[in-house]
Amino acid sequence: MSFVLAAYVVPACAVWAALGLVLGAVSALGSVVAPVACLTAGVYGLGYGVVEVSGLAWPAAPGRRWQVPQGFLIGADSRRRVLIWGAILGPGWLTRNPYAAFGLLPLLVLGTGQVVAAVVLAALIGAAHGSGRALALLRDAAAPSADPFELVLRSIRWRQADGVALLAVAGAALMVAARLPR
Amino acid sequence: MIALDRAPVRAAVAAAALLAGLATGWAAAGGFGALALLAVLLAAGNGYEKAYSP
Repeated sequence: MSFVLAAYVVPACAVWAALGLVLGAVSALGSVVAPVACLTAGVYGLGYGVVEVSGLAWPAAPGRRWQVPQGFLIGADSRRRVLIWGAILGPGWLTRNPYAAFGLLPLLVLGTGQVVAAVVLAALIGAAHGSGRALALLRDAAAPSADPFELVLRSIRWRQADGVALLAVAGAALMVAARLPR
Repeated sequence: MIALDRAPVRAAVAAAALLAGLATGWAAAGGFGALALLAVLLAAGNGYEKAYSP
């Protein structure tokens, strides 16, 4: 368990911390960047929150369609496969993102307004995302589902839950944007 | 069927979530801490829920 967790969390932390450094530097360029980022996060969250809660198919969540190629995994032993999956899936940037909340996260990092705060927040986001993916994987490995349609049904309900979470964060982001010192 | 499958319930939950977020942001009084905590929770949930995407 700890190996799987580490395989997902360590690369996720590293990638997100590096991204936090870049976004933090951009955020520190001017006092207007952080409020605008929070405002954009609020608008994004409101829009996609309504889309996901109401079950609309369009617009799809921003992201890539790329999946881990079979060639990366065929012939690799189980530890190597976990390392490959962890490095690619843990940070969350390279593969398909079915839920829109992921796109909100870099905007919130940009909203910090400070380089150090952006790096710390981004690293925590990476750790949280990576551990979430690893724990879901471990849970499914321990108790695989017998019903093939359960995954589809669960994905619909997770999309709605993602929308509810987006709306809550959007509300907070809009209020913070309005009250941040400029 | 669970409660969230019904559109009126979903709309009520969505409105409550938005109001809770606005209240949280208001209580933060211009600070970023609460929003940062929400961002970390959102990231954890997003990572977890991706296991349930076909």
